[in-house]
Amino acid sequence: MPRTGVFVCHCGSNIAGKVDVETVAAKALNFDRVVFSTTYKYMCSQPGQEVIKKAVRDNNLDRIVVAACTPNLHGKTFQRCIKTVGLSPYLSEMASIREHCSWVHTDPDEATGKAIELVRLATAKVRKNVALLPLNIPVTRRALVIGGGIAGIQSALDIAAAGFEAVIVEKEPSVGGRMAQLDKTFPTLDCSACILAPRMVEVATNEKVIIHSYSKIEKITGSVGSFEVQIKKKARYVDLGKCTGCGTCTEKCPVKVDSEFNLRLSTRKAISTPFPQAVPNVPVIDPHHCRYLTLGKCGVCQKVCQAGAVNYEDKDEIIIEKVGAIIAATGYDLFDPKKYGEYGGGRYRDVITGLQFERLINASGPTGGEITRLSDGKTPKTIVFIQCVGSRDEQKGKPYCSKICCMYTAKQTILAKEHIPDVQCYVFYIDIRAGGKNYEEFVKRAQTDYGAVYIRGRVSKLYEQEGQIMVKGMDTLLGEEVEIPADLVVLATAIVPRREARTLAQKIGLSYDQHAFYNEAHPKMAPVENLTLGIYLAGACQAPKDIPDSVAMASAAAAKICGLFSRDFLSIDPIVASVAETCCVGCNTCVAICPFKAISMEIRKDRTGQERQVATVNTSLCQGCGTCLPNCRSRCISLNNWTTDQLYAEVMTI
Amino acid sequence: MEYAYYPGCSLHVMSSEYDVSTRAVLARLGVTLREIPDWFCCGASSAHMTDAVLTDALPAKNLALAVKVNQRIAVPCAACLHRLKKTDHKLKNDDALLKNVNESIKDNYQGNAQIKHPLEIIQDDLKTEELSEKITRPLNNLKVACYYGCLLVRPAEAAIDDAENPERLDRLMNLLGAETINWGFKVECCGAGMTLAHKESIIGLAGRILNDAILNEADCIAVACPMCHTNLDLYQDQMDLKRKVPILYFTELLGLALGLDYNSLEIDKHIVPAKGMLLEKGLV
Repeated sequence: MPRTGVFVCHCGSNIAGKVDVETVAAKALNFDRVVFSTTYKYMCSQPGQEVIKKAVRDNNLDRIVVAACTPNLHGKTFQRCIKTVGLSPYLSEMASIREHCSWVHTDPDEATGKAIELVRLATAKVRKNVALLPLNIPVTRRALVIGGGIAGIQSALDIAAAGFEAVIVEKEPSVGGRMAQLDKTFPTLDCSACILAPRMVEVATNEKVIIHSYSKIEKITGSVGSFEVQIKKKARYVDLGKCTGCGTCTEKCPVKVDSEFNLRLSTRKAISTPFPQAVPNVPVIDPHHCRYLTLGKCGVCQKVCQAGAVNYEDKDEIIIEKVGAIIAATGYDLFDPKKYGEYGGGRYRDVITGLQFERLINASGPTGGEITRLSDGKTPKTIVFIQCVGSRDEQKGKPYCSKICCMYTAKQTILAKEHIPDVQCYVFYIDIRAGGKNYEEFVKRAQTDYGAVYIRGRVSKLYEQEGQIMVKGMDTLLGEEVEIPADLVVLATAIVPRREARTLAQKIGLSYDQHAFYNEAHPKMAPVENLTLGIYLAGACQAPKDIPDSVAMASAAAAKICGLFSRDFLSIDPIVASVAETCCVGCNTCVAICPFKAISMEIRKDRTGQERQVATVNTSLCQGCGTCLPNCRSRCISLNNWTTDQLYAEVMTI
Repeated sequence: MEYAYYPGCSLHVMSSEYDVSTRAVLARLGVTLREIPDWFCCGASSAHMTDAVLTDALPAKNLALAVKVNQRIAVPCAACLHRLKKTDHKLKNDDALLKNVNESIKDNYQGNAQIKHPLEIIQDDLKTEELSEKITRPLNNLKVACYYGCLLVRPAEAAIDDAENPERLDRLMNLLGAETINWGFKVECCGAGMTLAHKESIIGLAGRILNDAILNEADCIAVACPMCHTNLDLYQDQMDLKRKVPILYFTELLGLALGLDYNSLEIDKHIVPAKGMLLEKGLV
C-alpha cells in the first residue's frame, strides 16, 4: 500500500504570499494514500530537505509530492534528496503551485483552490509511479566545435588539453573568425593578430584537433553521447596535402574580386587565402569568379603551381564525424546600416562601419594601416563615431545593447589619434557602458589623453556638403543642436547572430531566441549549456560578447564537455517510451512522427515462425517527449512514469 | 482615365498656378479631373491639433463626397493628401471608428477611396513610354534640386516615397531630361505653418535649404507641395543668399517639357522670377 507524503513550500512569500499553504497541507491529508503532510519556508534549502528526509524515515513514506516551483527548477533536487534516504528518485512528483498558481493568479482563494487541486493530481499520479532504474548510454569521447573563431579555437584547445579529440568545422577557408579582422584589442591595445595567431598555429598543429575548414554542417543526428555529424567539405580546388602555401598562384591569378575579409574595401584574387596568416595556409578557388571554372579558359594557377596542388576537378565531399558532444561557437554578424536612411543608407562612401574601420587601421589591411577616405583617398582630420546604430533601437534595429561598441569606439578614437596626430574625434553616444576590468578607465583615457569629444545624443541625419559629411545631431546635455562637418563617419553597428544561425539551429535542434541568439539552458545557473542535452555554447552566438568573455565561455563549455567525457557511460533519465510488442500492429505511425528519430521497425518471428514488424524504441535517442503516445492506434506505446493509466488517474481524481 | 479632383484651399488661392499646371499637364496626358462638388476644408493643420472628432470627420466627409464622383481621387496638395490619407488609413482599419464617423458626417463612406498624388498618377498609372513620347521640349541643361518636404514622405501610412531619401521627383525630372542634384536637404523642414506666425524661423530653415541648393549649383528647386513652395519662394530677398533660386512646381516643369504654353502655366506668379533662367535654358 503506497504511503505518500506531501510537502508544501512557502518559497518565502513567493507562494505563501498568495496561496494559503497551511490549508493546502491540511487538505492534502484527505487525499488517497496520503499519510503525511507539512509545510516549510524553503523546501529546497538544506533544512527543508532534512524535513523531507526525516518525514520519510519517521513515517515510513515510500513516495513524495513536493508542492513548490516547477520540476524544471527543482525536480532533480528532490529526487536526489529522497535517494539519500533509500527511496527511488522516480517516486517523487512536483505540483507547480508557484509558476502555475501564486505567480499568475491574483485572487488568494482561487489560487489556494487551484493549488489544492494540483496537489491532488500529483498524489494520484505518484501513487502509480514506478521505481525506475537510470539508463546507461555509452559516450563517444570526441567533441564537435562549430566555428573556428577565438571561442571555437579556445574550446578545442581546452578539450584537447584534457586528452580528448576536438573536430572544428569552420565555414571560411581559414580559422580565426572575427578576431582576425580586428586591429588592436581593448583595453590593453594588444595587437589582435599577435595574440590570435599563436592560438591558430597551436590548434593547427595539435594532434588532438581536426580542422575542417571551408566546410559546413549538413545534418546532425543522434543525441548526447553519440551524435553523428554530416559535414560538407566544399571543393577548394587546391589540395590541402600538396599545397605549400607559396602564394604564387594568388600572385599570378588575373581575376580580382571584392574581398569579403576586408569588407569590400579592397579586392582579392579568384584564388586566394583570406589573410596572410591563414590557417590552413592553403588558398581556395572561388568557383563563381575563376576564369577556368566559369569559362574553361586560363588555368594560370595550375601552370604556376610547383606542387601540382591545383585540381579543377575537385568536388564537394560529404564526410561523417561521430562525436559525443557539440559546442556551437558560430559568432556574430553586424547589423546592416542600410536600414538607416538618415545615415545615408549606404549611399555615402565616407560613412563606414566599425569593422571596416578596423580593416582600415590594420597594418595588413587594404590601406596598409593608413586611415583614408574611400571617396578621395585623403586623410580625415575630423572623424565622427556614432554609437548604437541598430542597438537599443526598437523602431529600426534591435532592442538590446550590443555591449562591445562603447569599448571598441573608444579604442578606435585612440588608434585614430595615434595614426593621425592632428585628428579630432567626436563620439555620439546614448550611454557609455564600460563595465569590465579597466574598461571605464580606458574610455576616460580616450577623452582625457586622446582628446575624443563625447557628445551625449543621437545623430538625426548625415548629408554630404562640399565633400564633407555633415553630422547633424543633438547634444542632450547642453540641450543644443550640433552640426559637425566630418571627413569620415564610423557607425558602431549592432551585433547580430550569424545570418545562418537560424538554419543551423534548426538543423541541429538548438533552441534560440527571437533574434536567433542561441539560448542558454538557464540564464544564471547553466549559461554555457543549451536546452538540448550535449550541446554547449561559446562566444557571441549566445549574446553580444567581447573577446575575454568569449574565451571564458569557451573554456567553461570545454570543462563541461570534459566532465561528460570523464565517464565511460552517461546516466540518463529512464523517462523513455517503450512498445508492447505483442499488440503492436506495425503501422509505422510512430516511426514517422518521432521528432528524434528514436523509433524504428524490427522484424519479429512468432511461435509459428510467421514474421511481422514491430516498433522498437532506441532509448538513448528517446527524449521522453510523449509525441508517439496519443498517435499509437493500438495504444501499445507507453512512456515510463507517464503511462495512460497514470494520466487517467490524474483526470479521474479531479 | 478619370479622377475625382480635390484641389484644397491652397490651390484655389495662393497656389493657383499649381492648380492650373496640374490640370493642364494631366489633361495633356489624357487624365480627366472632375472637381468634387462642394468639397471643403480637409482640416489642415488646425483640426487635428484641436478636436479628435473633426480630425477624421472633415476628411471623411470629403472622401464620402469624392467617391460619389470617382473612387480614385487626385490630391495635389501635400497637406490635404496627408490629412485624407491618414484618416482613410484609420477608417480602413477600424470599423468602429468608421461607423462613428459616418454617424457624425451623416453619410456612408465605405473606406473605398484610392487617394493619389499627381506624382503617383503620372508615375504609376501612366506608362513611362507614353509620357516620354509626349515630351517635346526636354529639360536638357537644367539642374534641378528636388525638394520633397515632410508631408509627402511621412508617416508611412500617408507617404508616397521613402522618408529619408525619396526619389520620385528625381526620377520624373530625369525622365524629362533634367539633371538632378544629389543633396542632403530633400526632406529637411521648410518651417511649415510658421510662415505667418514666426517668419524668422522660415528665414532660417528655408534659408538653409536654399543655400545647399545654391552650393550644389541647382538652377531651380522642384516642389510638389504648396506650403514648401510658399516658404521657399516668399522670403528669399530677406535671406542671406548668394543668388535667388526659382521655386517651381513639378507640374510647371512637366508642362514646359510637354510643350505647354509658358503663360498658360502661370509661372510668372511666383515671387522669385523663373522666366530669365528658363529663357537662358531655352525652355521658354
